[in-house]
Amino acid sequence: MIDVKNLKKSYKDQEVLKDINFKISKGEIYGFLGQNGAGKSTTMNILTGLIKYNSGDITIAGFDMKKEYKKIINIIGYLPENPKFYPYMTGREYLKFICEIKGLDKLETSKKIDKLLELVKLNKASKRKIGGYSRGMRQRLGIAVSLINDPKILFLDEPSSALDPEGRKDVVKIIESLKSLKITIFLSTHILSDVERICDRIGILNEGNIVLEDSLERLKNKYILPVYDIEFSNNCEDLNNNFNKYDWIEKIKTNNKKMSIYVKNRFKADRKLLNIISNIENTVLSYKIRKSKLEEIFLQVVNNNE
Amino acid sequence: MSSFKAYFKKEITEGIRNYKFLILAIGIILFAILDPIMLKLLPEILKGQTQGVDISQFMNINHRFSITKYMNDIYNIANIVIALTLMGVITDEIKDKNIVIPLTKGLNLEGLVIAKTLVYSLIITSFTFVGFIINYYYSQILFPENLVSISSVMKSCLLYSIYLLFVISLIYLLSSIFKRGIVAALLSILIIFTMPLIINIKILSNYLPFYLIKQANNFNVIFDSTLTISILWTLTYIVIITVITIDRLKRIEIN
Repeated sequence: MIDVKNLKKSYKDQEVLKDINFKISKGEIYGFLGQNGAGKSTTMNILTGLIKYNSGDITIAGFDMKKEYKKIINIIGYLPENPKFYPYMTGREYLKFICEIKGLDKLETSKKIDKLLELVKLNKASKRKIGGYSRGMRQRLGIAVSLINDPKILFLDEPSSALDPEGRKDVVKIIESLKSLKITIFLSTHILSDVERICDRIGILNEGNIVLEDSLERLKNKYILPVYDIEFSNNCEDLNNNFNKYDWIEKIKTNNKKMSIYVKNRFKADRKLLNIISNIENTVLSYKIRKSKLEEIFLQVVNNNE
Repeated sequence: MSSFKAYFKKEITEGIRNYKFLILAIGIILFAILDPIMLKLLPEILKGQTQGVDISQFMNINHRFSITKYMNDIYNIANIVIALTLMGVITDEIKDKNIVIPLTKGLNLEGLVIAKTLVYSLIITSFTFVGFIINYYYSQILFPENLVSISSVMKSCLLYSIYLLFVISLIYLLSSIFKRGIVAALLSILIIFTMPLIINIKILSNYLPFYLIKQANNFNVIFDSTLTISILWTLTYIVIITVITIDRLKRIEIN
């Protein structure tokens, strides 16, 4: 659906995007991660045609960005990081204004606006002026606007970043609901918990390069190995010898009745660890696998590249 | 065409809700009412100031003088009001990034600029005609001597309107060049008030928009070849300036 090859962008002497390559398949939610200033918004602005790029090839839904931009604009939706609206307009008026720009007919416009306002839960506030909307309401209106042309691809730039927990929850819920509509979503964010919740695949942008790109699950398996936390009924500090002989165990930490086992190979650990524990004469009270977090992958990858 | 229609309606809504039309109406029409009244009261005011000496005897205040006074005020004050009111019309769209969402929805920049130009041209032309008619009416009541015909005043008003259209397009151009609206406004005012000086250069005089103001102030507007050429030149400037404004907007990268 989106194919970016050797994308480069510079502002005067500063090279913002050095050589970006990625592909996004149809219906996929792609999390585009990076620290502030990594070039996420620049990439987003290029993909939506707002700014030009120095070199590279961009194909969206089979259309070439340079030659067929007008076709691309009809199939994409975009929510900027801080969506700006005319504050004197009401939410409904703004949606109508955008429908007029798109040249939609009046009957179609009215039905579409009602549907979108319902989707983003702004029906009740639709006749209030946007100037009086909260940040979360503006963000939801932005999502409604981005969906006005029934886009096949949606570009969301930090849609939940500046929101309070309630507003963030609402926005993430709306994005999750878009998954069922088979819309391809390119989501730029630095809120990793949101990415973990909704994205299928991620790409990490660091200093103008994509330093990592894969499915979330594969990344977790590859980058972060789980830690097994076991609690025994008696002191377990003398049990280390039972585990040290296995080469797939990296290290063991014990503290009175608690033991944490760090492994090198999670598949071997999953298969063999329980067997080993069952042979120990110390009753197990709890056995937990500490799951890896995207944040750890992100920090590891970014730090390695700095 | 859809962008033009959408922005035409949007500019009208904005003009009403942000009181831009009201400010322009006050700037243009208020003096149409105040000037004749002030001129009527002037002899009394001057009498009080100069201890009984009637200075107004040395001034020939009549219908023609009253209308000329209004025309001067339109030039001096309305131009400033227009520049300050319209200084952000294009700058703010870019600076506040209001244009981002419409652009990603296929906004046509030609439609945007033409809609903005047309809305304010229609509004300012209407206010100018209303102002001239009101001023003519009051001046006629208060100064029934040396009456100027309504057709002469309307011809002058037409020339003023064309000139103000040039001012609008100039403000829009500068507004698309400078990031701060106030810079665009001040530069527009500077250009507007420099033109009367440049018109003294004979070769240039007929080709400058200010020639229209000069002719309008004569109350004896004859649409001869010189004036027609001057009007055509002014309209050409408006078209060229508008094309440059659109081109400028197309080159701006919003990020």
